[in-house]
Amino acid sequence: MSREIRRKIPLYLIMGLTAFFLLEYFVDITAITGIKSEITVWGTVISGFMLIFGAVLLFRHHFFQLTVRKVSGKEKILSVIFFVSFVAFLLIGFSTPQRTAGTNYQWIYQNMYRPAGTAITALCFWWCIYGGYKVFTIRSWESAAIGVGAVIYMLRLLPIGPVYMPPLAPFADWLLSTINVGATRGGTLAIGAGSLVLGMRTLIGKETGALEAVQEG
Amino acid sequence: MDIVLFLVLSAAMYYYLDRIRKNKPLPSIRRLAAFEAIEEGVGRAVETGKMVFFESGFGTLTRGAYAPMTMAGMNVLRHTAKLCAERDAKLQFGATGYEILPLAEGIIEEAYKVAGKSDQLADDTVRFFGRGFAGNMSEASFMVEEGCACLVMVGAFSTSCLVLLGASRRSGAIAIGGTGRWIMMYAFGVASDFIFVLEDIYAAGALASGDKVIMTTLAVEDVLKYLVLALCVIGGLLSMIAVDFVSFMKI
Repeated sequence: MSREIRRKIPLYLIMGLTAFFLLEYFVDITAITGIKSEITVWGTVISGFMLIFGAVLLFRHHFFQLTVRKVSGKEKILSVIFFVSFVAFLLIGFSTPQRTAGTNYQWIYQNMYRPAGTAITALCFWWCIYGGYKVFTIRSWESAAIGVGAVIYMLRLLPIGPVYMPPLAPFADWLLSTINVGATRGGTLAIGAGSLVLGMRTLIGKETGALEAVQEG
Repeated sequence: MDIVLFLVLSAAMYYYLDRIRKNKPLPSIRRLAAFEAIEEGVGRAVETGKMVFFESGFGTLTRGAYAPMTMAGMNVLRHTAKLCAERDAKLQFGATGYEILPLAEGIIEEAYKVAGKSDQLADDTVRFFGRGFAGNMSEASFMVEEGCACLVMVGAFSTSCLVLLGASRRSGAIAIGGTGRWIMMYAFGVASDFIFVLEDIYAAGALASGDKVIMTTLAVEDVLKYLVLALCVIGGLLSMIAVDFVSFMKI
């Protein structure tokens, strides 16, 4: 199959599906709604295949790390950890009829995976705050506005702020309820318009970002 | 009302497509500093020998509202990969969701093919760093250890993007980024050198394509914005004279 055809098939498929979903939104016919539900199920199945592709790519990457590539000892250890945990989770998951709901799988998930995940999340939040303080410099109008707003609102939240500056509390609340909400709505409308136009580009077959297939230069 | 909006959008699209067909002058597209900065960042990567790090966030192409943002991220990735391939800069794509791995790999591979440099593409250019917060932490550590000249972040992001932006500052990189999530715009506002403000990420994708039709759709977006703005003003005025505009809009 030529590259051109390989590019066209998914493009036409997406165009057709976009038009169909649009029709389903505007027209209330039971048969069309039923077909839409069926297509949505197929969407879930196809995205499941993407997971398999992702897992295969990961497996391939770590296999090459261990066998072919000349990488550091640390990288090799990481790849061994990946292999061991991948195979362990796979075997334990398939060893019982309950699959991932089985006792063994759940024990590993609850007692090993979750605590590790929680520790990383806690660390990440620490680094987020650290990163924010470390990199925040006023270098544009946007960052200046954010900086001024943040200082005012922080002072409002501290008991010392409203005590020494009584007008601070209503002013900070006004910033949050009026300016912030107005900006939020503007932003939501703008991003909605952007998403709609991206949808229109898909409908006319011009949104080829993820589909392009080209000849080697 | 939805159908009216859709018809206005379709009419605007038809109008501009017709102008292209008849070779009539098209609206000018404003320059996006963040988009142009990608070229500068790639140049810096070539000079310093450090990498260009790309992150497209936690979205996938099948996850509702985040799908268009991920699509915009993939469009910018194509542009960045093309520049890196042409100028022999090292590119590293960091994935924090494995669903996006095959797509990113395909896009980068094609960009290198266009430049005729498939043989120069390292097979670990696309790397999975772990899911969610753990992935961002791992990416930050990688960036600091390996050295980074330019960080490009376009897609759907959560709070943890600050970790990456912090790491980019530590390794002296130019940080370019943006997201369609308004709640996260503060992070890019305070910590990026160049930002894509909300729908700018879609505009960047259109600019990256270089396609006249795609770029003209940005003008269609403006028509929609003016329409919504007009409805807001009219609605505000009618509400003042006690006309129930909201109920009328719900028809």
